[in-house]
Amino acid sequence: MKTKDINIQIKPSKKKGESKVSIILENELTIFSIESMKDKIIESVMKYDQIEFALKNVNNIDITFIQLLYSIKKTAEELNKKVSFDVELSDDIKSLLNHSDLSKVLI
Amino acid sequence: MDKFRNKFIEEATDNINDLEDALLLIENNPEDKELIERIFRAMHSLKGGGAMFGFNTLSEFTHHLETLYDLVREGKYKITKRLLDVTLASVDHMKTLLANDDLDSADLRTKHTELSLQIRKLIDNDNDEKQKVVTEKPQKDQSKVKSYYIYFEPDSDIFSDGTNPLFLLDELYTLGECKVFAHFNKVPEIEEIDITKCYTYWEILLATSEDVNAITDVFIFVEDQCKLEINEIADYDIIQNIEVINQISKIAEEKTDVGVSEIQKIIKKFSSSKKQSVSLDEMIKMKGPLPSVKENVISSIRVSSKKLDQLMNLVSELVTTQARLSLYAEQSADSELLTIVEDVQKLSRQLRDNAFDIVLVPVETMLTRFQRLVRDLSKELNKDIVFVAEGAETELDKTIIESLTDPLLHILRNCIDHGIESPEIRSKLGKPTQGKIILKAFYSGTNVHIQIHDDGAGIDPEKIRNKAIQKGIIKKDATLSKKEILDLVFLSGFSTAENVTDVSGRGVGMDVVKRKLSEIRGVVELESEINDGTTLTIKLPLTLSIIDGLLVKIANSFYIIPLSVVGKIYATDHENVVNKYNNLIVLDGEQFPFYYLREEFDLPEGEQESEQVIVVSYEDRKIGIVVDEVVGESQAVLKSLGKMYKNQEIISGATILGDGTVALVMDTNKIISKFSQDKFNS
Amino acid sequence: MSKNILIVDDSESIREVVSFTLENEGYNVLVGVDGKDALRFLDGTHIDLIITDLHMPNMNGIEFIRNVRATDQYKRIPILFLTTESQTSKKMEAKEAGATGWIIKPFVPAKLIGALKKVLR
Repeated sequence: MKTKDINIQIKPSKKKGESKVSIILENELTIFSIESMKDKIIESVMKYDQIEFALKNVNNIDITFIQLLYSIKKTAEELNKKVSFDVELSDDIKSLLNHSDLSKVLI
Repeated sequence: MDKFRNKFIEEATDNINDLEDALLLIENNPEDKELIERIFRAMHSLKGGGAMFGFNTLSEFTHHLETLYDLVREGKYKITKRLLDVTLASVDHMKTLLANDDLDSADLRTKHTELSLQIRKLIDNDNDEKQKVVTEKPQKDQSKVKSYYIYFEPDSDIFSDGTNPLFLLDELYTLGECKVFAHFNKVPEIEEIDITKCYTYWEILLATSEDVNAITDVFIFVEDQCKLEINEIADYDIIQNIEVINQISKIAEEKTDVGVSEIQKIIKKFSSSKKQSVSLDEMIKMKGPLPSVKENVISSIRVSSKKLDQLMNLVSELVTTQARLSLYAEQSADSELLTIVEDVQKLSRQLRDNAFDIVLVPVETMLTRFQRLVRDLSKELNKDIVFVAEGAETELDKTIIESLTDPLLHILRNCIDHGIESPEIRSKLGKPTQGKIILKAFYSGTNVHIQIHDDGAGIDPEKIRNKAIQKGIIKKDATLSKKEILDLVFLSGFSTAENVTDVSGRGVGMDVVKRKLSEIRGVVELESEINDGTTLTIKLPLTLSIIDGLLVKIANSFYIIPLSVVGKIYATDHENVVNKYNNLIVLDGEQFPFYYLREEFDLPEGEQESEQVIVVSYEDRKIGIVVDEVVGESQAVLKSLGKMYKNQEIISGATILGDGTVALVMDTNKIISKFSQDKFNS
Repeated sequence: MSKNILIVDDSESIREVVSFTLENEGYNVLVGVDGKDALRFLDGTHIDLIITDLHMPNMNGIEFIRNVRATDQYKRIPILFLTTESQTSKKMEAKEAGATGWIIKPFVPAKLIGALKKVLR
């Protein structure tokens, strides 16, 4: 089931003294797949001060994923952590997110 | 749709028969729930299918019966003899409706009304269900754009049945212009979040000319799974008013939901002064592309093939009439008229080309069936075969596609059954165990070629030859080229399969395929190498209804020979074509077999001194056809022949000439095949 | 990548019209002739959407939908059912069983695609 897979890579920064992590997410970012990844993501978010999400080769994105990101942003703000996004999306997905006003979470 | 309609008729007949069976059974078992269910299901299918496939009378009629049996099913109505009598009479009536849904005889209408009344009485008698009053929807004003405020909050478990609210919001954009505000204030922090729940809700401003029902329709699947509020907030397009939108956006960002009353206040504040008039500058400043009022523009429509046939007929008539007009104009020598006629000619040619284009259908439409055949049959025969199609977008006249499917299925069956070897044999031969069948379609001039290639065993010419000798098709000492030998498989009564399997050896041979194909003016060629496989090429005309032809005269009749097969035309002396027992003629130092058509048509020998020999080609053969006179080139609109000519196999159709006379279109393929057979037998 | 749609209906003509319409739209169509028959696809086959009739022999649509929802892999894929009844009871029953939405027969291809677009992209 290739298409239903989420692909996740967690890359902590190798610079000394820097508490930073890159979380690279690919493929299916939906309710079908994120349940399994949720804890991994949250764990990293709690561990580092700077979190950079990179969304690449995304087939599909849904509300559950956007909600998770929103929740992370909300929590991070309270803990004085920095969250940033590096997003590459297809036109179809962009339009879907714009039309539902969800793209504002990815800023 | 016709194809589906026929299938529905088959199916409906089954359903009606099943219904009848069940009704007869239930007479003795009136309490049998399963039987009632069976009756109900049959009615239900008839009703649904009937409506879909244009049997509206049948559908409506069955609907009333279904209502009745729904009551039976719910235990509110008992099976009685009277009920069964009416139902069985109705079943008979349904059979009639299937053949005649238009009720085009008075008797039928009377019967229909009577039965409908009886059913209605049965329903009403025992069930005082109030009749639903259907109110006509008021005509909506298309041009009038109104603005709506929509509050949409999905239930938190909305995702559980596969609903994706994003698609619904996206759909709103097809109704008009939208401004959507998503609210996340209900999303909890990460320790508490339940990923399967929906926390997000939306406020939407929509400017549309559609009515509220169209908006409700967007949310129809989730009506019961969300909080939905739709309010009309302005009778014009509020989204064009940048001040209003900016103000609302600001509040939406700061607080949670804005709410309809707040929005109405803002509208009042900003629109009292300048209502909907927005300056051009502001329009340009607005972000995004120009607003599209409605995105769902219909890019294609479905038309019944009957209508298309009518169109084609009319175009054909027009081409014919136009030819007459041209002829008349030429004779009249009125230069003004000639100019007009030229324009008309140009237009009708364009119209013709356009109309032809409409009835073209891609080869792709047949592929599913082929794919299915290959899959099912290879499984059945324990073979491993992959089917690949190339050039599926190649288009052909729909009538050609329709007549092509069966021959192609047969050819594929042959490939799978006789062509591709079993995996064991293939691996012994060092071939990949998986066999491959490739269907290639491509344009070649005014023709379309369809090639079916398999990488199977190929055809052994020696086997064919022996078989043909054994069957008495050729003489033992006949010398034939490899191509000629391969062509033998197209002769009737030829079947090479050593064991007749039930797949392809059921009497229908390649001769039938060839005949079917020649009915649509298709030509088949076969190439094969032992162990490399077989390639069968079908050459088809792009369209069936108009051909460019050579107009010739024999005695007092006109004939058309398709220009595509005409090679050279020679004049020869009369005595060269009569009393020639070997039917060979030497022209330009080359020898041709020929037909003297007067003789063939049982006409008296001509009296002119010079005859015209038209050399027509077919594959690598050339054959002379002798006629009295060559008139010139002509565009022929093909008409099918009446019964009179049904048995005349070398005539494929008729056409009407500019001056109204009829010309017959010769099928030179048939002439040649007839000739070839004679040759092999001699 | 083209999406897989499973269509379940005991009427061959409906199956053909639906398949034809969907294939025209570029979807890949799997076909079951009734609920019981369609169960064979719930074997890990990737399915993006199911369209099922409700009245069918062997296993009706409601029961089939329940079966789909009981299978982990398919518990959240969209399911549309075909119905001629505007009767709310049937709709409710199917929705409760886990259907996402419905298509009312008779339909024209545009209507079918319209309903489909509500649940699948």
